[in-house]
Amino acid sequence: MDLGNLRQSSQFRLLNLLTKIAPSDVQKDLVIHEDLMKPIDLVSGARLLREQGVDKMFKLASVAPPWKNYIRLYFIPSIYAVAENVAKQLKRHGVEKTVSYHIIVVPKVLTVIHSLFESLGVLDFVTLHSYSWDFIPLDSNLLSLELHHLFKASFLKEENSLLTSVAKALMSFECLLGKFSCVMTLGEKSQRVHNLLNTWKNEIQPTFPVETEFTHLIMLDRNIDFVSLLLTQLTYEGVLDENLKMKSGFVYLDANGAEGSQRLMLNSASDEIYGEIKGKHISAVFQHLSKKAKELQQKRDIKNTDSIEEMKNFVSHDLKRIQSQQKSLALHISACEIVMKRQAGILEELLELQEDAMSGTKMKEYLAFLEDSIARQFNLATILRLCCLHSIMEDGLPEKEYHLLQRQLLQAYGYRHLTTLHYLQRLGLFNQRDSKMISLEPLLPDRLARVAHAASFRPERMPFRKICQRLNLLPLDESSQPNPCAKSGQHPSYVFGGVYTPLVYHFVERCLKEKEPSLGDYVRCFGNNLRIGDCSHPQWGARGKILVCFIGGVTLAEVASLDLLSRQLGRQIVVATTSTISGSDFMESMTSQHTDT
Amino acid sequence: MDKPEDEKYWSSSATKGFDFDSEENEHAGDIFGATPLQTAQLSKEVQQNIPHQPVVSRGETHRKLSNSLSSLSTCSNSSYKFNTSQPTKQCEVTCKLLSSTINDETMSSPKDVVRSIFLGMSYDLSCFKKLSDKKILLDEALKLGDGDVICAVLLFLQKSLHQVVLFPLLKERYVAAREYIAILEKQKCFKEAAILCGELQQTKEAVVHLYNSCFREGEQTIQSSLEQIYKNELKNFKQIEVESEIIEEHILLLERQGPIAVTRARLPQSEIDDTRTSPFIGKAVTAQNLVGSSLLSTLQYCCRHNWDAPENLLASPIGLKKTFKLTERQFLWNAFIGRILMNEDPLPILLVKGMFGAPKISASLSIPRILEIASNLNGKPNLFDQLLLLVEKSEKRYQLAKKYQRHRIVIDVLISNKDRISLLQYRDSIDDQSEIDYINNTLRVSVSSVKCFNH
Repeated sequence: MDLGNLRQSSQFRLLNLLTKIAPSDVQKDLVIHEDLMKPIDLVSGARLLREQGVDKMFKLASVAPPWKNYIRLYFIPSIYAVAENVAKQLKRHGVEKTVSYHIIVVPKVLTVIHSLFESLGVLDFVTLHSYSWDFIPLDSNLLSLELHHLFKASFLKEENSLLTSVAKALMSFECLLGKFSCVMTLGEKSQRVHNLLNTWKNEIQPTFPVETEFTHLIMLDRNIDFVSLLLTQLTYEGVLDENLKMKSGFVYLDANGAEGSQRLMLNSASDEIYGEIKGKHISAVFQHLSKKAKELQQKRDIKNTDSIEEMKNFVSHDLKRIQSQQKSLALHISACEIVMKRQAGILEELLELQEDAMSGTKMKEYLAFLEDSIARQFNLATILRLCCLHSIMEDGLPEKEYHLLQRQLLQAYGYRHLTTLHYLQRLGLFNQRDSKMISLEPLLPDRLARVAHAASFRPERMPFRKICQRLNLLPLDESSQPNPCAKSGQHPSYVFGGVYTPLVYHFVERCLKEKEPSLGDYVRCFGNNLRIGDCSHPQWGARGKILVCFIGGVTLAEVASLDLLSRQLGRQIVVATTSTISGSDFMESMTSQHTDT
Repeated sequence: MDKPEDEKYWSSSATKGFDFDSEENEHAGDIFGATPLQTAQLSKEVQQNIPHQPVVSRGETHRKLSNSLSSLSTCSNSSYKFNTSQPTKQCEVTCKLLSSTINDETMSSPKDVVRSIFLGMSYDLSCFKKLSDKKILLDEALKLGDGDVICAVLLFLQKSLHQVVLFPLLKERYVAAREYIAILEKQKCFKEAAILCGELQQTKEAVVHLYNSCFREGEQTIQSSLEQIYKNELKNFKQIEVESEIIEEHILLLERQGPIAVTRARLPQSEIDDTRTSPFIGKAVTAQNLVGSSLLSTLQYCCRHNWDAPENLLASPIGLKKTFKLTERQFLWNAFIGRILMNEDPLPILLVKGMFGAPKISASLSIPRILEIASNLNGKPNLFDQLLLLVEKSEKRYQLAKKYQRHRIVIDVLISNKDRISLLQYRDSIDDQSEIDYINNTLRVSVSSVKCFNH
């Protein structure tokens, strides 16, 4: 499989667009939005842009940059507020006959954005372009569209304009790497993407390669399993993402990404040591790094005693590799130190609380902790994660408890978070338990939900704890102790310290287990949200590669669990996602006063 | 000529216009390019070309002409066929000028238009004028399932339909309604979004939209905007008692914050430089960012600067506690943090009378957590000693004292446990000479007392 094809395809389209705007010998200025810098770097790199005539590059700010050339490009995400800022900036700047502005919107110029530019009367000197990249390979088993605002747009605001771009990216994937024979979807958005994918195929009638490597496409919505998002990730890569915020496969060791700070690229293809530790439980990482340090030292020491000839050979061949590994080792050790310092005295307590929430024990102490921490205004994102975890596992909170927490949260962190709590409620993360209103609505496709609503039909909705029990996702149930395999990495629950098996691991395993998927339990749990493709297809039982696509984001812990499944089944599983996401990142975006989509 | 003929004549005239009262009509040929005689002649010729049909009403004629005009501009599968021979060019021009019937026929298939939008081709929605056509168009977009197509149709409906007509239409189409609410939010039309949410029976969300609208104009107008929606808008929605109460509390808090901040507008340098914080607590606010901060931040601020203020003052911590019905835990934590940040002794706040009158720490707080925060905020050493003595279990007291390096307490626990070996080990691990002497003295006394006892 050559995922490099995806990069080439994105690159080709970008260069094509730039050439269409102006030939490469015409100098251009480029203003780029912060969120797009890293993805563009991964797609084309600055050198290629320069070859296309890009002269000056600026980061998008609230005021116009000191322009140098007459052709001026803006690279922005399809976020209305960002587009509005640019449009107003251009409006202020006014018309200059010799200057032309080109706004490249990723992944597409939404109608609402076009309408905005039109209403401000700037289309006389501004041209809007859509540019959508293919899935960007972040690691050997991870592809991302880096559409971080998709979750909020699609799941929170229920505006589904970006889903078409996901469908297009999947079609492009098929065009490059072969058509999927078997498709399964779990969730309303996934189903919608699948429908759009079929519509596009019917419209475009593309040609697909004869030989196909990927036989299965399994699509899931992020809101099917929120617990995997709320629990603390305990794999090395997950811990780094939670604490240092991974951006397009990079983390900065000072977490603020200030200029000059050390940068760590999380890609196992280019970093052997990272490849060895990325999926390991955090408790085993430092031990591994220390062993590796000794090994590298030994390699150098051994060579010191060798003959001159061997020494010459060593310097020309092995030394560079060892030096690069040592450099990478030093960075990983620094990263570990930062995380340990940051989590000192907090992590263990949080893990215990999460364990209690999952097992449903010591609830009185759990609530006392929440009240106490809220009174001290302890980190809001952490508190909300615990509140949501409790609410999901208990199928909503009793009225009194809910109002008490709601009130105390607003008094401690500000009344403006009325909006935050409303968002969490809309997503089904922090709710008041309603014994009368037992409904499938949040899980059902809209049409069915409306029918159910219209007929005052109240179908039974399965509480998440019951889903966990039915699908055996709570290893704690059996012995009230975290699974002994938790840290060894033999059981998928190790990614969450043995308290929970990611639903995606179980779902993909069931889909691929035998010749026919055994998904009876899923039908009972998720009803209409599950769509199984044509099981009679000859390719169904084929042992091809599997693309697991997440709509709304994937956690690196889930990726690690699928990696384990891949090793267990002996089949390659590649994860494609609209973006990577971590609990801390998610909560911060929910609590942010700027909820633009 | 009788009247019907008159009408026929003038409606079929190919000339641009005529004024009966004009004195110049005798010489009209110079201006209009034709004399009345010539126009009459032309009229006759035209009449001859029109096949004789039953007399139709004026309205019907009008409609037919309008149909024929529309058929010129678009290819349609309109059922009506104009089965006369083609009118002259001049005739068409006149029709265009004088016809006033709006084209009310839908010319394009909604499915085709929706497909065009989906494929990024050019499209025109202006031909969808009837409400029924608009509904079909929206339903086609919903059927396709592409959010951007739905959005394009909704933007068209926003421009062409009144809210009174549009909202009931959306009420029956939940997916479209959600997309439209998102559009309204982007356009910062929060009130319209609130009305639509109200129509969808999502009153809590409606309140959130109204609440968000108060933050549009900046910090200065928040209070007045909140008061305005509290008095005028919230009454339109049902089952929002909790949200109403929250907004009322927010107004109350803003009423207090302004005057409190003004009294300490200039900060002493020591306060600006104070960067003490702990990972277990929130960041302390200053007079500069007090307005807009949370209730508990305000309480903590008041505990720092207005600790002794009488209850009737806005800045009184006790007054805040009573007005906002804060719990003991909320008050104690913030009072403790506030006092410690002012380098005052916070212990009296935390103590309550235990059984038999002995002091103990309030049940709402845990000593290990207090110690942790006090340590992060550089609390005075005697605070640790006093707090550690309140730890009931000696094992726990020993661990905590060791963690915070309160040597005397560690030594006392070991002495009371008569653990000589641990005491010796501890003596070897510390550098403080006075504590080493204390251990040595204790050991000497105990040895001599043993000797005396042996005598």
